Amino acid sequence: MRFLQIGLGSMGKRRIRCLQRLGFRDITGFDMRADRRDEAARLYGVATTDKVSSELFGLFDAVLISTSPAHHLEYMKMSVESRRPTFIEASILPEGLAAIDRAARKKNVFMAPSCTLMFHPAVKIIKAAVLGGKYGKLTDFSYHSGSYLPDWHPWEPLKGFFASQKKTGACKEIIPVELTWLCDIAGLPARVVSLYGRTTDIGAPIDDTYIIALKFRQGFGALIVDAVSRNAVRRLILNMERGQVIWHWENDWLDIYEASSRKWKRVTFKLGKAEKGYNKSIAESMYLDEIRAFVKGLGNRALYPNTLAKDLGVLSILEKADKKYGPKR
Amino acid sequence: MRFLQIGLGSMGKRRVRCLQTLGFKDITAYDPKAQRRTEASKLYGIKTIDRLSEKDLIAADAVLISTPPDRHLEYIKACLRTGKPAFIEASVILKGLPEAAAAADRKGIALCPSCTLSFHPAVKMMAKIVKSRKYGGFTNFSYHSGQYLPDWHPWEAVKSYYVSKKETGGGREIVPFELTWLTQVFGLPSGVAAFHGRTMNVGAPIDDTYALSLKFKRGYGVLIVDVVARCAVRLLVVNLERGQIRWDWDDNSIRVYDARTGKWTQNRFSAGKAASGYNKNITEDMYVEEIGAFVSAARGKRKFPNTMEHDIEVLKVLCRAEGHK
Repeated sequence: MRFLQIGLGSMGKRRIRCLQRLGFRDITGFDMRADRRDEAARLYGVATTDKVSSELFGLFDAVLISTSPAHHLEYMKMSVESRRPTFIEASILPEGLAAIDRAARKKNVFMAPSCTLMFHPAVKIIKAAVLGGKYGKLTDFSYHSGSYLPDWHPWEPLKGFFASQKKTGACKEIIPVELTWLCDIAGLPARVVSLYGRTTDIGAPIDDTYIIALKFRQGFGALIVDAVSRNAVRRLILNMERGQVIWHWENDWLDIYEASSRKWKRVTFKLGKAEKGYNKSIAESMYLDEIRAFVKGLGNRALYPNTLAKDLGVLSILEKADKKYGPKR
Repeated sequence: MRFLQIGLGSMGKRRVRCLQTLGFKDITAYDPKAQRRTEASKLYGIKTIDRLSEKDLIAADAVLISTPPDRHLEYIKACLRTGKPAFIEASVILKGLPEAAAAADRKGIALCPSCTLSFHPAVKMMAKIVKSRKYGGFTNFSYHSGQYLPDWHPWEAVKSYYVSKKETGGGREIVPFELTWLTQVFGLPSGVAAFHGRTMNVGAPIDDTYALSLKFKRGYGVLIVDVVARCAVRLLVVNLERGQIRWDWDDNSIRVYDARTGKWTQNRFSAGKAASGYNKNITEDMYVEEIGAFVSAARGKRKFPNTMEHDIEVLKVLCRAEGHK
C-alpha cells in the first residue's frame, strides 16, 4: 500500500512511525519546509516532496493529514477531489467541514478524523464500564485536562506553533480531543455553558483556560481544559448509579467502585512507552492503534470509530463554548 | 459560659460534643422532638427543654443554631432580639439574611455562620500556599465534591429530614458549604455559568448534581457537587503559575508540585478521628476548632473567620448558578 503523509511536524513524523511499525514501507512525506523533509528522510528513510496536488493524491492508496489545523481543509478538499481515503489529525475549525463531509459522502470517500484517546486503554475500560450497564446510568463527571503549552514542543519556539495562535490555541485543540471520547461515552450534550480566558503569561496570547459545564440528556459534566498546568494532568471522576470511576492518567490503572459490594476494583493496563521528548503518559501505542484502525477502515470503514459527522457535533460544542454560550451571569 | 444549643439532630449533638471537648459543661439544649432530647441528655448529660422562650435565650451567653436550614432565620431573629451571639450551621436560604446581617451590625451582635471546611487542615495548608504566592498567582482549579445522599443519615430515611426538600436539598446545601472555603481562598467569582438537576433516584425529588463554571478576578474554577457519588469523593487540582496542588480527601496530606525543581512534596497532617457512624474523613477536629473560634468571637476576643456578608455573597453565587437574578 502506498501512503502519502501530509505534514512532517511532530505529529506527521509520529504517523510515519506508526505506519512503519505496522509494516508499511511505501510512504511519501510532504512538507513545505526543507528542514522537515530532510529530517523525515534521514530518520525514517521515506521519500519526500515539496509539491502537492489532487493529482499527486491520486497516486496513493491513502492519505494522512498532519498539518496545523488551519490547513486541514485545503488538503481534505484534495482528498475528496482525488477520492482518496484520508486520516485527519484533531480538528479545531468547523468552517467548511460540513461541506467536505457532504462532498465526501457524495463521492463515497472514507474520511477518518482523529480520535486518539478512544484508543487509550483507560478510555476503553471507562467506556465499557459506562456502556456495559453493570453500574447503571451515568449521573455526572468532572474532568480536568491540563498541560503546559511551553512543554508541548520544548525543541522549538512557541512563536509560529499553531497552538500558540489565538484562533488555533492549545485549549481549542484539546477541547475537541477530549470531547470526542467523552461524547462517545456520554453522548452529545444538550446544553453547554462555558467561561474562558487568559490567566497568566505562557508566551502566547491565547485563552489558556476553558471551563465548560455540560448538560447531557442524562446527567451532567464539568470539563476544564487548560494550557497552564505546570504538571500535566488528566483526572476524571465519573459517577454512575451504582458505581464510580477515578482515573489519573499518570497511572497504568484506574479504579472502579462497585456500590453493590462496596469495594474498589483496580483495573490495570499496559500503557506502553512514550516517544523520546514526550510526556511519559503520552504512550505511542494509542497512536499506533489509531492508525491500525484507519488501515482496517480502508477495507471496512465501520471498523474506524470516528466520522466527520461526529467531529462536527463535537466542534459545535466548542463553537458554543467559544461564544460564551448561555445566560450572561 | 452558658450555651444554648438549638436543635439536637446529628449536627446539634455534634456541637454539644464540641462544646464539651472544649471544656464547657453548662449547656442547655432545645429540640421539639422528645426522642432527641432523651438521647442527648442520656449521651451528654445535658439539660434539655421542649419549649424555647426568650428567657432561655436571655439566660445563655451564646447560642448555637443547628436546626434545618429553613428554620435558621427565626432563631437568628430571636438572638437579635435578645442580643445573643450566635453560631449558625451552613445556610442555603438567602431570604431574610441580609436584613438579619444589617440588624446584627447595628446592634453589634456577633453572628457566626459556619465555615467548617476552613478548619480542615488540608484547606488551611492550601489557603496558606495560595495566599503566599510562593508559586505565583492562581490560574485555575477543578474540584469535585461528591457524596451519596442515602449515606448521610443511614439511620433514617432520606425523606424524613430536610435534605429531601427542594430548597434545602442535599446537593443544593453542599454548594455553599464548599463555596464558603473556596471563595475564602480564591475570592468571590465575578462570573458564574452552571447547570443543575436530578440525575437519579436518591430517595427524594431533589436536584442531586450541580456543575458550576466560575470566573474569578484572576483565574477560573470548576466545581461539581453531587449527592449521587456512590463513594464519597473530594478531589481538587489547583494550578498556580509555578506550581500545582493536589488534594484527595482520602489522604491525610496535600501534594505540591514545584515547577522550578520539577519535584513534588507531600505535606502531611493529622486529620483526627471521625465520630461513630460518619465517613472516616469527616473528622471531629475541624468542628471542634470551629466552635472554639465561635467561643472566642462570642467573648469578643477574636473575629470569626466567616461573616454574614460573606455567607450572603456565597448564597448569591448559588442563586446565580440556578439562574436567579
